[in-house]
Amino acid sequence: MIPKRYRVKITSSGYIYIIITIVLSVGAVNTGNNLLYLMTSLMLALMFLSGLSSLANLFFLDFSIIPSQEVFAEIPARFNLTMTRRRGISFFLSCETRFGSVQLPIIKGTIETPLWLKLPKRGKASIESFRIHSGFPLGFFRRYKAYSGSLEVMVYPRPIPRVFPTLTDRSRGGEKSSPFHGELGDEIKGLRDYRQADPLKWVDWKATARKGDMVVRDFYSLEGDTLVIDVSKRQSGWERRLSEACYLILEGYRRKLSIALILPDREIEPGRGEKHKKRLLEALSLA
Amino acid sequence: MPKTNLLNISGLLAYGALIGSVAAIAREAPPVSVIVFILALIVGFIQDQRSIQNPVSNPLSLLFLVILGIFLSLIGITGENFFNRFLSILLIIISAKLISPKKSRDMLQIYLLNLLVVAAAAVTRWGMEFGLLVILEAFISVTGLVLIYGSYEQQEIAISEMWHLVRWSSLITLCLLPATVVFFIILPRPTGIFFAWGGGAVAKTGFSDRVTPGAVEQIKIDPSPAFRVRWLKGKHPPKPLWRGIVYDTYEGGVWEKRYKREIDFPKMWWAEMMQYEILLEPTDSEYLLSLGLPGKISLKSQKPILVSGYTAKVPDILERRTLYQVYSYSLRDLPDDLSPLYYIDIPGDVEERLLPLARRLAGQTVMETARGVESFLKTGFSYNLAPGEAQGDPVIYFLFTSKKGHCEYFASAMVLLLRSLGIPARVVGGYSGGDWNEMGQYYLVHHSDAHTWVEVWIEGRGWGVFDPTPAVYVKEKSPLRVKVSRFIDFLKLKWYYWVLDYDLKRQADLARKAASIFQSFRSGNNSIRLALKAPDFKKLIPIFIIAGLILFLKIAWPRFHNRPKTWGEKFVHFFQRHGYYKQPGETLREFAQRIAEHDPPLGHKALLFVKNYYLLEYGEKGPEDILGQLLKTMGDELKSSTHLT
Repeated sequence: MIPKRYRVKITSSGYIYIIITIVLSVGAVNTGNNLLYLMTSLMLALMFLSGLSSLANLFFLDFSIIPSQEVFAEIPARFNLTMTRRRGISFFLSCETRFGSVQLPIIKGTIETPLWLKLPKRGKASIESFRIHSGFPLGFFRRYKAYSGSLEVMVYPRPIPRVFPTLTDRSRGGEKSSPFHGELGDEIKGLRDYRQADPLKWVDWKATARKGDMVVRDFYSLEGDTLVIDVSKRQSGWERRLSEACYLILEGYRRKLSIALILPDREIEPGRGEKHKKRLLEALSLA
Repeated sequence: MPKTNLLNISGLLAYGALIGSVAAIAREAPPVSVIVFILALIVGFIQDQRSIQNPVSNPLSLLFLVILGIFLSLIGITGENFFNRFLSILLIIISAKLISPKKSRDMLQIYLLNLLVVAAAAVTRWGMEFGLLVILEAFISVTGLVLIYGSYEQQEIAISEMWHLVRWSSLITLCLLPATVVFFIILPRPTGIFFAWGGGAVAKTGFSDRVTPGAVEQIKIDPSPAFRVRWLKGKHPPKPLWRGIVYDTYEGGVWEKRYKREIDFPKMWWAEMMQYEILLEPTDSEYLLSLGLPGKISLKSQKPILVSGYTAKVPDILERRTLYQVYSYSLRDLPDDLSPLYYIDIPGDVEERLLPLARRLAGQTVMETARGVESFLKTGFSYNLAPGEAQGDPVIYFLFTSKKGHCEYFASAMVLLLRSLGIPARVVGGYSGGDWNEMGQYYLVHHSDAHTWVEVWIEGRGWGVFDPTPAVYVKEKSPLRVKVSRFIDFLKLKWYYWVLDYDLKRQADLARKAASIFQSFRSGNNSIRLALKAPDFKKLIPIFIIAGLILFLKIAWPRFHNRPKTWGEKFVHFFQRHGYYKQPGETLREFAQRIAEHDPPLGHKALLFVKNYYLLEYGEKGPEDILGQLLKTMGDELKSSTHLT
């Protein structure tokens, strides 16, 4: 990022320090006491050097911010901040954006640290202003260095949990018969005879009692099922519906379903995998 | 990794800073408040070390105690004891802070209060020790404040990181001293002051209008400095006699200056001129010292005048340290400003007693008589600083009974012996000699150098100087001791001259000097430029060499040694300079791919570079120039745009 400008803010202890300096300087002028002039000079010099060293503290800095995971609206997302001090050391820096900040104790060379940012809205977000600031060395003044630039981030809608829908006949097409392949869903397909290695929790004790042999519950295998998420109508609670759709995409992905998405202006064919999930979430973000 | 608590360390430093500053004002502060402070310091230290709280450390109890302390301090406050009570209040507030639980903010307040104590010391301690105190306090306080700020951000840090902070604060302190000097020089000084404190030093009893022969004993045994003389122009005499008061009348065993008619400063264009600056310690007297015949005296605060006997004086007593400049004519014998007959009176009973002896010592001429009396006193009498109490007239007792005494007895005896013969003579009170400091080109004259000698009127020549006091054996100090004491005194003089007496005039002089140097550089005036450079250049050569070596070892050598050697290293170094950093464990291809995610055109070229580099390094030998070209293209591209990584 390219530094744009430096700013200084006086802290409350800085104001006290300035008041003492003024009092001493008035005393010096009033009495003509050169030793009070000396004290005033010392305090002014300290103020000046404190300003210089706070400036030097922000020199030779490079940084990069990379999102390390999916970014959802209103949920703190982890970004990777890599900060490098090309020469010397920086002390007690705070890195701040509109959406969050992080404290960095001492930087010598390159350090990596998580930066948690909370972006408020879905869609393409742009982190334009980034400030590094520090009250080092004395805490009387806080020096800010503002960077201009633009980090484009795709912010997905905030996922709001909802009841996972019952799978339709259409969505069951192409299922595999064996429940032992892939992950199982929660929905019961029917009953069957007990096979060796079936877990005891699957045993339907009532049916077993009726039949006299061991009977177990048979579940639908989710692998191969298709989840169609339809948010084609813009109506009241639109954002909430997008948030729920986001949840369903994430949950569907977790359950390894094939997921299709119907939006008002586009339709995305069923598909699986990380890239497909990303496509769906981006479509939701921009809807 | 071992960690340390920054607040604890800054606390320890605060104790050190407070001990130093309070010691500087302890004499002026009320003893009770100093005792309270010492107790609070001990209690605070113990509770900090053991992490315990004392019963009165809650805010309400402390507030009550502070209000009570301030109330007691304010009882009976007057203009005279105002400063004393102010110190008392300051110490009470500090004591309360010391025994209360200390967080970062409290520690910061302690440091700011300490700053006020140091400022208070500026009112009472005017010596060079104040300068040393300021340096010490600056170092401790800056380090303490940096650590407090550190503790505010992060209470515990690794010891190695703490040393980084200490190094940084030391660097600030080192830069602080020259920066303070710059501010001190440029801060505007008003022409007048509204409310002046005393001079800081205690005024010593100087020469007064009336003096008995035994009165100088106290001065003679005092080794403290009386004044310093910075030589400005002309040849400095090897054994100068600093003239103070010329006594004219002897009555009842007391010398007195009765004739004080104001005279004009003489103008003698033919005589050799000396120019010097005298920094006079407080004297409790209105007389100024000078060498030879004073032609002009410049003094800031008062208008000096010249009275009979070419004695320089000011209207008011010199209670403060005073700096004045003198232009003197270097004359062996002084002219008359008053008829010599004013210096011939002698009490009848004394004359009667002295006449037989005086006649025995008389020569053919005034000069011979004066030399005879001088020689008689030098050889037949002994020097003694404690001759005992005189029975009757001190001079007669000295000449006929004790036969021992100090300079005032000798000078008085010679003057009275000559006057009994009708020769005009007078006693001059002042200082003899002084320690010439080659380094600072100045004399240091001590109170123990106080001296009286004789001036005799010789017709056709003027007032000739005679010194009947025999030489005194002085135990010589070791050369090293002399050198060290001269060096310390040189620093003291600089302190007085450049700190205590720095004023608007000197500020203006400095500004003019700086402006003329600047002008000479602009106008290309080689003479000034060479004059500025030539004498210092040779001395500076070793410094330049050392600085060059340090720069080389610190900057150039690491750069040369760590320069990228392979094309891979050059690639990483190139992107590092432009803000892209290769992650640990990342391959060059992954690094290039990461760049491509943020900046596809640049990343594409980076990938191309990596491909060619791999070919060159691990596969068939490829052309090297393409790699250089790619780096150049990418550099141009980066220059023309800004990138966010």
